[in-house]
Amino acid sequence: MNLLESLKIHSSIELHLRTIWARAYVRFMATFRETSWALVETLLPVLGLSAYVFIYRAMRAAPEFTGYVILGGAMTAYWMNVLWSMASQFYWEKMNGQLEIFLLMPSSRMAILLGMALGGMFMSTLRAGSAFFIGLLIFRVKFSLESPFLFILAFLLTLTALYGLGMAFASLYLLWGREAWHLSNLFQEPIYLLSGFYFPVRALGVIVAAFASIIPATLGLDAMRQLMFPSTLYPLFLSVEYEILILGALSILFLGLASKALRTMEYLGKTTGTLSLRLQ
Amino acid sequence: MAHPIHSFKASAWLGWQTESNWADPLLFIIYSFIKPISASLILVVMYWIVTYLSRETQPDLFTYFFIGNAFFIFVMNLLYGISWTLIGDREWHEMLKYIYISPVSIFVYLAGRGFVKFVLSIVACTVTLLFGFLFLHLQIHFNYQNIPYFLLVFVLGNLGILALGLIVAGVCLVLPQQAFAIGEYVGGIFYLLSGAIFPVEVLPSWLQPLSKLIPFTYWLEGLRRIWMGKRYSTAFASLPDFSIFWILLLTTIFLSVVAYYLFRLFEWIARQKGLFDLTTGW
Repeated sequence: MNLLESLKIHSSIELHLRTIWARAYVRFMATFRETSWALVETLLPVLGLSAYVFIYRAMRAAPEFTGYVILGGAMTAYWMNVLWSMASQFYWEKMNGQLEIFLLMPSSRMAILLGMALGGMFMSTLRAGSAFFIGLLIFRVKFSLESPFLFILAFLLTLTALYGLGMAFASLYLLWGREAWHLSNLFQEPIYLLSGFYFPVRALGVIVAAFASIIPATLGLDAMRQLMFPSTLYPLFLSVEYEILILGALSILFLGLASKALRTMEYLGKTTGTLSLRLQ
Repeated sequence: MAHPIHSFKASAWLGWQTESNWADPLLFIIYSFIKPISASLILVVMYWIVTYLSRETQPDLFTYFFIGNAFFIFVMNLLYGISWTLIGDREWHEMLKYIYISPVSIFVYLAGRGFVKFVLSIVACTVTLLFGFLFLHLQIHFNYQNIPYFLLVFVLGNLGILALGLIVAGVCLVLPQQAFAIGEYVGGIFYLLSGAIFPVEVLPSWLQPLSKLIPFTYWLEGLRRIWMGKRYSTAFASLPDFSIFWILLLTTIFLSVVAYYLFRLFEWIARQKGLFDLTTGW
């Protein structure tokens, strides 16, 4: 490799890294722009999920169900972010007239999506982390994390697969246009139900749980619950090792799909002239 | 100023068009059904797991939370809907400034937009209750002589929700960065504090007085009594029906007055800071 080629590669990597940082930066900064974040991003999410803790208490459920709710409730922050700030994002950018600018940039579209995902993960981690830790503290949830490494691995793979899915959705949502709004709405409560955000997904039966596993939160939550509450009363879906393997496969699948969907979306948008159409 | 009825009709029509996003009405109605039924099914599965493990059923509690959850659809839809109207008009359609300079009262405009959400909530609530009654053996004992009382309580509660929606919309005007989440979080707080899905006595003792200050707590208690035909929550067992009604009426009037002045205050702050045409775009 001659010097010119190595310089080209170097400048290409630098360009992509700068793109990722630039797109993520907006979200990092947006999180703290208003001082109200301290309340809105920390305390309010806990209050929201507390209702599910109290309904379990009213039913006289075992204490670990409180932990299930707190973990699932915290993870909803990521799913909401994937829907509204990843999947719908290119559509919003089109509405704001920014999409053309993104497409004119010399770096890859995947770098933009990756920046968006990292920024989104940061925003959601603040919200989910506070809900999780404050929830554990307020409701005095007892858990025993025997394998922190597996827990972190399951969590990171869940996030990778979730945001990979969000990146793939971003292109599809752009093509679907105004339907994006309905889809994001439709993918909230039904997914909370199918993925078992507030209860072990096994309760829905093996077939439904297997079908719901296409949403990475299903297996991620089941794995993390098994690791946090090893002596659970209710049968869980698959063993942690299998769930981690499937989550890894889903991560690769969704990231590959995102890259392909982006190219297809751009081609279709250019040939049909819809890339710059606003409010459609 | 344009005639309020004309303005109301025009904004309600606009509301329908933007809510449905010019989608096929049938498809849109299906969307509107799946969401509330799924939300109720989450609670049903939670109940089912606990009864499976404990081998003990609690049919009254089941009916109690199912009815509360079905009527809470109005709170979530109206509250969220009104705040999203302002966010959408400012952020995406960039029309808020034009609405303000048109000869239409912002209150009539928001009421018109909220009306569509109200109609959709009636459909969603009815479908949810029917689903519970037909498939989940919900123990409903509705006395038809109570229809006028039901309508009175029902309308009063929705006026209270509209007032709260106005406050949240005002907050969205001055906190653009948090506006996207605030409607949902406020809805979540009321979901907790009004005891939408559990009896208020389950809350910690220090939270119960706060719950008793909220009009929606009385609204849901009143509705449950009408639909269940009995008093389930021990926190309100000694409170007769007419007291529930009067407390609901007075708290709704109070909330409406507070909402009017707070909204005007937030509007004033937004004008001072030049927030009417702000887009965040993060």
